[in-house]
Amino acid sequence: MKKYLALTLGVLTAIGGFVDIGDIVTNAEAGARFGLGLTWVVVLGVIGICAYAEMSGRIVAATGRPVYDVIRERLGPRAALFNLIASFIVTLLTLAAQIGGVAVAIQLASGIPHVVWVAPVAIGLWILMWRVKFEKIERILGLAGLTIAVFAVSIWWLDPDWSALSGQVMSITPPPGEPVPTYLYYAVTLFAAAMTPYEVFFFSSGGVEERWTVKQLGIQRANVLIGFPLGGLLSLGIAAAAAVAILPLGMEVETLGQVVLPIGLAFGLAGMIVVLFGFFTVMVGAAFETAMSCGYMLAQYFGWQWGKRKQPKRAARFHAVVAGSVLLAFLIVQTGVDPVMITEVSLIGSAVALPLTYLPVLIVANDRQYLGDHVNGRFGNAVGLVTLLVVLIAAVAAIPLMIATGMGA
Amino acid sequence: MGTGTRSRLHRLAAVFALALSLAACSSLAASTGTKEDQLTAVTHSQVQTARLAAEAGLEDPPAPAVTLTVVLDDARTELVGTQEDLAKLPGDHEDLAGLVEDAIALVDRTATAIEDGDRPALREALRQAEALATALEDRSEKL
Repeated sequence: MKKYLALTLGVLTAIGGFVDIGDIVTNAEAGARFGLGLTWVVVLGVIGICAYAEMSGRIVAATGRPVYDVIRERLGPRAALFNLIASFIVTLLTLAAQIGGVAVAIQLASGIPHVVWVAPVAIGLWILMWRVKFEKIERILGLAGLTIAVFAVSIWWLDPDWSALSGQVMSITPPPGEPVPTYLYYAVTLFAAAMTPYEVFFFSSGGVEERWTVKQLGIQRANVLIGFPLGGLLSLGIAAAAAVAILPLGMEVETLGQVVLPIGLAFGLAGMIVVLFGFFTVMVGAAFETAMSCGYMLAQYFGWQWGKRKQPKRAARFHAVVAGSVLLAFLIVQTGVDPVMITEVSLIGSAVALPLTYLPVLIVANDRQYLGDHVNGRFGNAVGLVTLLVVLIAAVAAIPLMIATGMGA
Repeated sequence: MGTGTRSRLHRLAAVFALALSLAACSSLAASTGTKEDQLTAVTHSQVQTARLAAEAGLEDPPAPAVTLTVVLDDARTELVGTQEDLAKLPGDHEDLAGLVEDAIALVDRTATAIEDGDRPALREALRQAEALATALEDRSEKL
C-alpha cells in the first residue's frame, strides 16, 4: 500500500514538474498555428526528459548526491561553471516567467492589472517555501494542477473534425502556406519547454531531499515513465483545444487570456474557474521548483550546506540565494514586461543551454566509479545519444530561427 | 578523437549552422511579409479574439465577464498599437486604418455588452466580428 502511495504521489510530482508556463504558452501558440502538427516534437521532448530524469534519479540513488554535485567533481569546476552560468540565467528567467504568469492568472480572475499582483505573488511564494514542507507543496500543487486536463476534456464539447485532428498528429511537415523557419522555431521552443534544464536539477535535488536509495529505483523509474508522459498529454490537450477553437479562425495566441478562450466556449463560467485555478497552481508549483533550483545550483557548485529541510541558520547561503532569486525575478516582472515575452526568451535561452545540462548527465551516468552496476545500459545510451543529438541541433538553430522569424511571427 | 577528425567536425558544425542561418534568413520575407501584411494580420487576430469572447459571453452560463474583459482590454491595446504603427507607415493606408478603427469600436462594443450581460448586443457584435474578419481576409488576399 505504501509503495502504491509513493508511486501515486511521485507521478503527481512528475506531472507538476513537466507542465509550466512554457508548456502552456508554446502548446497554445503551436496549436493555434499548426494544429497538432507538432505533436512529434512533444513526443520527442517527453522521451528525452524521461531518459535524462531517469538517469538523474539513478545517479542520486546510487551516489546519494545530487547530479550537479557529481558533475562538478567529475568534469572539474571550470567546465561545471559554464553549466552553472547558463542554467542559472535561464532558470532565473523561467522563475520570472512563472511569477508573471501567476500574476496574469489572478488578473484574469480579478480584472486588476497583473503588475499589481507581482509583489503579493513573490511574497506569497517566499512564505510558501519558508513555511510549508517540500512534499506537501509538490503533492498538493501536483494534484491541483491536474485540473488543466479541462483542455483535453473540452475537445469533446467543441465537437472537432476528428479526422482532421488525427491527420495533423501524423504530419511531420509544416501545413501549406506556413514557412519552414517558423515551423522549426515553434518546434525548438516546444522541445525546450519539454526539456527545460531546471527539471533535471529539481528532480535530482528533490531526490536527495527525499533520501532516495537504489531500493527505490523501480518506483522512481515508474514515476518518471508515467508522470512525464501524462504531463506531455496535458500539454497536448492545450494544443488540441487551440487547434479546434482558434486555428480555424486564423487567430494568433499572444496572451494567456486568449489561451483560456476555448474553455470559455466549451464550459462557460465553470470551465473558466477550473482552468484559471489550474493555471494558478501549475505556475505556483513551477515557480517553487525554479526558485529552489536556483538555490540548488549555486549551493551545490560552491559546496554550501543546502536543502529545504535544513533550517535557514544551518544553510543560510542556500536560503539567501532562493530568496534573492525570487526578489530578482520579481524585479524583472515588475518592470511591466509581458510574461509571455519573458517565457519565449527563456525558452530560447533554455534551448541554447540544453547541451550544457544534458551532456554532463550522460557522461556521469556512464561512469562506473560513481554508479557501479547502475550505469546506463545500451538502450539508455541509445535514447540518451539520440536525444542529445536533437538537443544539439535545437541549441544551434534556436537563435538564428528566433532572429529570422522575428520570434515566430 | 584525433585533431583532424575534431577539426572536420568543427567545420561541419560551422557549415551546418551557416546553412541553417541562410535558409532561415532567405525565408524571412515569406515568414513575416510586409509591414502592412503584418498589421492586417494583427487586426484580424484581435477581431477573431473579440468574436471568441462574444461567443464565450453567449454561453449558458456565460464565461466570467471579468476574464473576458481582460482579454478584450489586451486586444484593444494591440489594436491601438497597430493604429499608431500604421500612422507611422509611409504611403496611403486609409483603407486599413478604417478597418482598424472599426475593430477598436467592435472590441469596445463587445466589452460593454459582456459587462452588461446584454445578449442581443453580443449576438450583434458576433455578427459584426464575422463580417469584419471576412473583410480583413479579403484585404489580405488582395495584398
